[in-house]
Amino acid sequence: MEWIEGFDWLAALRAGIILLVGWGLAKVASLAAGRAARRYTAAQETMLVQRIVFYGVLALSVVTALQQMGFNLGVLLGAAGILTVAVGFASQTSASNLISGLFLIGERAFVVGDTIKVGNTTGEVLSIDLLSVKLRTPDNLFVRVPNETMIKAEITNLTRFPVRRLDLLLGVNYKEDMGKVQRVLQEVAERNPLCLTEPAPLFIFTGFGDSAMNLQFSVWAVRENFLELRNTIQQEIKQAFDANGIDIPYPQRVLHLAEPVTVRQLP
Amino acid sequence: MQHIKPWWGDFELAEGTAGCWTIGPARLYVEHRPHEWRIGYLLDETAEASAVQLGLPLGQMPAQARLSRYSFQVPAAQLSLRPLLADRPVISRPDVNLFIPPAQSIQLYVSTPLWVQVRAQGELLQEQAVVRPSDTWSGPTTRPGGLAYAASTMARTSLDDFPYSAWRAVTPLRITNRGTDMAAVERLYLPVPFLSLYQAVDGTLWTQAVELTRSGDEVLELERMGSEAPVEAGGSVLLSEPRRRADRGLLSKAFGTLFGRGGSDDGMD
Repeated sequence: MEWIEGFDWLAALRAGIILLVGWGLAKVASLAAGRAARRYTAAQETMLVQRIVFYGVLALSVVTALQQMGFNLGVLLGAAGILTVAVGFASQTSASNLISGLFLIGERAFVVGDTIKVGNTTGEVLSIDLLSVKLRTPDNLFVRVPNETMIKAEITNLTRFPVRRLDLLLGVNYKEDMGKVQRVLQEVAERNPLCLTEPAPLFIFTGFGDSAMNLQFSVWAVRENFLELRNTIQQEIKQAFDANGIDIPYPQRVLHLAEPVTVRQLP
Repeated sequence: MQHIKPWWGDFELAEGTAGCWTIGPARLYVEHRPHEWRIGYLLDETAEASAVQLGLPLGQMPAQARLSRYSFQVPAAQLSLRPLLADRPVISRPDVNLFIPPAQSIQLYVSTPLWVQVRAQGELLQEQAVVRPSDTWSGPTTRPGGLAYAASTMARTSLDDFPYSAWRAVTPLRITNRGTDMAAVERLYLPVPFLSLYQAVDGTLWTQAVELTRSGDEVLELERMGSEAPVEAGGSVLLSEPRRRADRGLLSKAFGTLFGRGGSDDGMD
């Protein structure tokens, strides 16, 4: 302990005051930096700027406080260097997450407020931090996805573009007239105000299935109305099919018997 | 020329009474109860009229009406209804393909659906489309562009027998083809939020005239918007200011002949 030249209560008090003032300054500076950055950057970059400023100012005040206490910083930094190497080896995952976090923020594949799908998890991005991305799922659960996973995973951003396409896969009975089915579907799309007129709805006869003729009917909606359109248009299609006598068949099998079956009435 | 009885204006609706406004195919019921205004909205696509009934007894609101309630501490009887133009551009498609030969300048009349704004005691209560037009996307792809409303138009070239309506405003449109080939007019982009709404003496509703030009590259561009009521409206009064002020970017708005055909569900003019 030769680098402590006796304990000085006055110096300790000064160091304490410097730490307190430094913490206050760090808070104020980070808020000011955040306010300035908000004009030019997205939400997660603003958060990053705020944190860098806060911890930078706090680190300076800690260094100053240590100097006041009479610590020899050269020795301390040397020890910190060795410690960093050791800690670095021990916390490879965290370091990897940290670097991945910086790349994620730089890449801007999604921003705070977007709804993304990672693997089987879909949720609104609450924050993009240095170690992980926090999501809120539609059923209001909090999910933390490590940045390393995010970098490696395929991410689907559901809210990047303003309009989305809804693909409806339908099957109709073999006795139906496909032209009539297409007309009925087109009329349903035209009547629903949430269904965009352009891009025009898409009708594709996808093939002959086991029990039905399969088709795909794709309609476009504004992102915000996607769920509502999904609900309303399917109901409307069912009603229009019923009104026009168009059958959506159940899976069915036709059995041909090799021997005729004898049916006897019980006495 | 058909005369339209205005459904808009300032009204007095005493507490304990109700009113019913018929605006084309829509009916708007307003009840003034103690410390409360109730607004019910109902669509009846078979009707097509313009009528105002005041001083009705309470409790006549149909059960299927979409209802909203607004509560005020201090009751007062003032109520005002105002027509407004759409809050997004309207992309109007001629029901039959229209072609304009080179060096021709034609006059068209297109009508677009209106919104109704309800104010009570000076406060804005609600604003809604008389008939909700279908959404559509204006832009060459699904990335650039913006939301608009889709409409279908007969794109009439004269005002003889024009079907004026209580819930649609007429926009005189001049299209000039400066190109060297035939111009196909598949869709008309009307910058409706930037237009004002005027009422002619006979009650018909108008916007300023709009000029579109095609200068040889398959795309019609907005050349100019009138600054006052069109001459066709005769003596007219301003009913509502534009929702948005025009900026330079507006002049770059265009529509082309890029997509397939689509439909509309908000009637024809």
